[in-house]
Amino acid sequence: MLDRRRALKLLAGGAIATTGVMFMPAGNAIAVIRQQGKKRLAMVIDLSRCNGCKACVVSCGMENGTKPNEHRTQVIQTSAEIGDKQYAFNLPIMCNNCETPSCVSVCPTGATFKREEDGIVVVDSTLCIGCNYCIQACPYGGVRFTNSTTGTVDKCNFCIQRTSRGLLPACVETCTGGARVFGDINDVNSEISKLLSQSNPMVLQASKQTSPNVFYIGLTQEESNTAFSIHSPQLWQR
Amino acid sequence: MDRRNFLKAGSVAAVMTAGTASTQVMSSAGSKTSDADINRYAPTSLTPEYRFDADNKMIENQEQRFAFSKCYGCFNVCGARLSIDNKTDKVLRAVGNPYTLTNNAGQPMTMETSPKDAMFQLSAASGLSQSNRATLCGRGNAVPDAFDDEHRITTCMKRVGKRGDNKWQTISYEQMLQEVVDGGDLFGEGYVDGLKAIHANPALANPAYPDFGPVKNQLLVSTSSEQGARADFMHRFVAESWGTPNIGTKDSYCGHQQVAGCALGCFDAVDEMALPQVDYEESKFAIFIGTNPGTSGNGLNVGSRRLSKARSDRTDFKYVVIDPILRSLTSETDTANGEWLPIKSGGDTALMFAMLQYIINNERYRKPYLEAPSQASADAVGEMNYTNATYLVVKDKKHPLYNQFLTAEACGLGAAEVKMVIDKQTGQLVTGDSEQAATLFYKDSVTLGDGSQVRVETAFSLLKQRVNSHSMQDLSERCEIPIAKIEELAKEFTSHGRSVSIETNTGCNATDGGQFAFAMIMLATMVGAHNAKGGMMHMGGVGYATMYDIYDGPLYNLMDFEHTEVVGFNAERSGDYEQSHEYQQKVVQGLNPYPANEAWNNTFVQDNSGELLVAHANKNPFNFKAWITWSTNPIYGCSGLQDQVEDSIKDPKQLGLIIALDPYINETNVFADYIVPDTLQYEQWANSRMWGSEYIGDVACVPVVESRTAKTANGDHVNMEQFIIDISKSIGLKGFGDNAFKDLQGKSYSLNTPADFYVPLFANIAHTGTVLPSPTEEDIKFTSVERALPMFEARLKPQEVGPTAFMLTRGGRYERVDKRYEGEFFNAAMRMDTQFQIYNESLARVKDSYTGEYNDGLPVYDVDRFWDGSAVRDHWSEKEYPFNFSTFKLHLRSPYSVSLPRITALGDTNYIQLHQDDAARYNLKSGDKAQVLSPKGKYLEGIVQADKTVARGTIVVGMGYGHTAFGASAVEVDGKVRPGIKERGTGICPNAFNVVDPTRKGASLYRDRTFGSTARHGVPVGIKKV
Repeated sequence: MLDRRRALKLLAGGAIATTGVMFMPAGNAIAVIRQQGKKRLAMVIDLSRCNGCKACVVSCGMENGTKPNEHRTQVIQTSAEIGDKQYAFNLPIMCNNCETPSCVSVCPTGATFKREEDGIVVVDSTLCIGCNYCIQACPYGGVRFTNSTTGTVDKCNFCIQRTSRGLLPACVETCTGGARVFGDINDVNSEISKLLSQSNPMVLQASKQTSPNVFYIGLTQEESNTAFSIHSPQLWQR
Repeated sequence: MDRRNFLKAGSVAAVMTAGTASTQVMSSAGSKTSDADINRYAPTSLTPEYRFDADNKMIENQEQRFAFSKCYGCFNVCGARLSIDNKTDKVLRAVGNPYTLTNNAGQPMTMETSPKDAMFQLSAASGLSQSNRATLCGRGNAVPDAFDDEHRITTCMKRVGKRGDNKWQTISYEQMLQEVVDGGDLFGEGYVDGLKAIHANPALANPAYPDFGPVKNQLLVSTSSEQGARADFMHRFVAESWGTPNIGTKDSYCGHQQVAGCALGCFDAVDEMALPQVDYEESKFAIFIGTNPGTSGNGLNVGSRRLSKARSDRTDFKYVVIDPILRSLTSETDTANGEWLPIKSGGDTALMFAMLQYIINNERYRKPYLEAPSQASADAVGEMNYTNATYLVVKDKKHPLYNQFLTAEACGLGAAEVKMVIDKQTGQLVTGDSEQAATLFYKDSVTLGDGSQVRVETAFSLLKQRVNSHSMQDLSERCEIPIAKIEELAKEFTSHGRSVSIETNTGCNATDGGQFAFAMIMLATMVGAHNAKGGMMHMGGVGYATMYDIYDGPLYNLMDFEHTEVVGFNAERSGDYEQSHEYQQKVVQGLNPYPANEAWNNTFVQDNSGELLVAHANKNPFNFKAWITWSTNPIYGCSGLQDQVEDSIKDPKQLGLIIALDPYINETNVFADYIVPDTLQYEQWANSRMWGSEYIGDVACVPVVESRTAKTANGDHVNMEQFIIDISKSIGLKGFGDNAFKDLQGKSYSLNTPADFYVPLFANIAHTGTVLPSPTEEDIKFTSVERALPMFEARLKPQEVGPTAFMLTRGGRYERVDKRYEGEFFNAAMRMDTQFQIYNESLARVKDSYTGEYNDGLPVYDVDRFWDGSAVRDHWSEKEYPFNFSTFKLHLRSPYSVSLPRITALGDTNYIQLHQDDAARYNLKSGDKAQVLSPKGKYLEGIVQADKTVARGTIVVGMGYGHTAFGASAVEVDGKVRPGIKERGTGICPNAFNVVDPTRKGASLYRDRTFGSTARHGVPVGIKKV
């Protein structure tokens, strides 16, 4: 994918670092996942359909009972200068439910593990001791956090309470632009499979080699190599 | 945790991990994830309202129920589907209703689809396309938190201390009713007239202004216009039962001048409405100006989805967003087809004129369309509509038809209604009902029936002169858009036939907001885009109440009672000044009747809560004696208002009685004497159109959770309707209590509770046109309509219950358009077939109340001016106030969303936003503190955000922050203090700060030059670093 020579105009306080540069279209990650041959739940976020409305952020909080200021998902928003023109940049981020997650191996209790049956990375709250090793090990800033109600680590688990019961994740159900698509990428007939094969998806920070299960359409190489954080100040008030 | 404990915990956990592993094996063997697993993985998450088993059978969660309701997270009004906890009666979660026309873009479920099947189609289990989802935006998702908010009002309250102290005591509903109806020395501040005495007093409110009616007109009612049938209920009380013309809404300080201005280009009238939308599915080029797709009014759910689809699925859709500030919808993922174009605040009309100039001078308009003077001639050339471009305007000042169309009557060729044109082929003067093309450019004399000569000119020729009255250079400088860019826009707009459109929505409110909208419609008229496939869709947001007389049958006539006559002008002075007592007195005394003492407006009736309060503050025509304010907040929302009227509201001597009906204490009703707790959306009976729908559709619902409000002695919940019913009965007003309305057979019915009104209304809607079928028992049970069914069975005839209940099992009624287009146009039902106006004769018959001059029939481009005609910049110089001010609605902020913790958590503050080069001149950068300085002598202090995403020369502040009420400040009830919530009071509100009109006497508001509506953009401001 061509770098469209854009420069994200980061607003004051938006601590964003460009991490190791690695150009890896998601094809490789998908291949890794498909080798498993099992049900692998994943999400595609088509940025050309995201209008930055944050319905996903709110519905996630309602559904998952996090405190209003604790977020499993967030939409990073800023402006981007391309040529001499200004555009909006809307990037929903969340736990990538990686295929080779860096959080699982560091968990001393086995509270965080990747489910065999669908690939969702869960945190068993009865086992989590709040050591935060997983939070430190995860390259995706802020997607794991301590839920102040339970005192244990919380993160996106693709709304396992819904998706294991034939329903869609809350954020997908209410995505106004229709940017978020969810399903089994090993089911060739699924909408997500078709979408992944038709477009040129990318993952965030491919250099971390965690094989994320959240794929982006419309992300540039530079953006894909940027370490965005859920904790970035929300300065885009428009 | 120290290391020792850590190890200890680790070893315990290790044992448990083994257990987990065995569960995993079981799961991978094919069994479903157990509930116990889920509870460990998602301890704070909800349990779904239903699930689908391996056979796709829906298994309902017995601890919850499912229901449809309305979403009122903003004024769009969408449909919501809810999960409700049976034990706590709390709404756990709200998402979109898939039947409505605004939540499920493009492919809403048919009414025939059963609710359970609809839910299956939305599920992952169905495997159906996820583009078929039914959404709610961020605000809508956050609404369930409102119900048990600690700052919500649930009891009847009476003020303790002075107005605005925000100290209250809880009183019984019955005590409150008695006090407001009977009056007395209610606060130890002296005798106050109760509502009964005010209504009964036949004396003139002010003998100096006999034309403003009797004392009963001294009731002011400020209301919400966005609550559908609830607003109609209130209006029925105000206009027909009580009988006062003094009802206010927010529309005219929100931006109704643009709706009225659009209509100037669509109807030969000055009080019509139009607000066209882009046809995203077929549009080749769309301009959004002063709005963003899907924001500010046109339905975010449907707008966001349709824009996304057009942007992603089509390669032949281009769009430009023209606004002083970049918003979130011109995405960097689409640099080829989408663009944000910055415009200096207040420069919108200049841009319209510049584009019109280019298009007309280069003859890039749709000639056959504009040459058609009649429907028959339009039909002959394949056009759906026609215009008055070829009509001859009389230009002889001495002729009685000066600036009106030359009539067939004057020519001795027919009736006055028939206008005259010049036949294109023969050059002869012929009647405008001609089936032949007429001449676009004609400027000469013609001979009338009496043989006299009169100078005439075609409307189009006049328009060409008008748009050339300023040079392209001048226009470009005003809007700060380069000429080359203007020409590019104009070329693009005229390069796709009729499949282009331009959409606005209340974001272009300088003093020429109405004229801007008139000129904007003219652009679409140039290419014949109205009603065209890919062009301008004019039927957006229409509901049953708009399209049918749902209060008059087919089953019940809810207006069939003895109405009270409304006598007198309204206090805001919407009306004909020349009919006024003042005018006539001046004429009798031989005085020049112009200027009028006060600003009048003789276009549409504004019903502007802001102007009504200004009249009160000026005691002109009078102080109000009582004010009922329901579901509205003009002190916060109306630009410029607060300091103009606050003292006059606080003073019980000037205004005896203030009654608020609301779920919240807001910046307006904090001054109330009494607060009646009102219901919130899911607790309400509601029926409403939905902004953003493309066709007739209403969301309709019964209360699906128990109201949190107190109860009356009769055991009914207190709410707006119950209060209005009970005061009306106490005062003895018609239309409430016994014999309140009739069915079509003439049988009388009582109106004692909200259900008595809404049940027959819903029955009317369900029986309008094709009568709806009856629902299945499963439908009724699944959607929880069975809970409400007894109320319907008790009030309707047995055969009427089924269709009415059917409507509720779908959360409303939505008409379906199977065939969206007919050839190159929308189908007949989605078209607004009318004669589009190049020259609006009706406007040319309306006089300006300052000069006494007639308005112009063409769009006018001018500098911003005050009521007296003086230029704003002559009062407030560029040197002292070098910027133009603009405001906008933030995506997540609505008039109520500040009370939602999941919304306030998404942004600590708003900003003072300007271009970084402008900021640098004042040594300002992002993060600095600054004051925006208003010529009113006020300042707005906040945090600067300076980048390249704001138009130069413009300072922008978004709305929805800077609250002092809604829980932002402490409230004392019964001696106990509820502390304010910091998150609700952050940021700044630009409205109180904004300017008024120094050329009006006393209190005032800044006005739209054409319609008198409140203006707020393009206002001179300065800035300084703090």
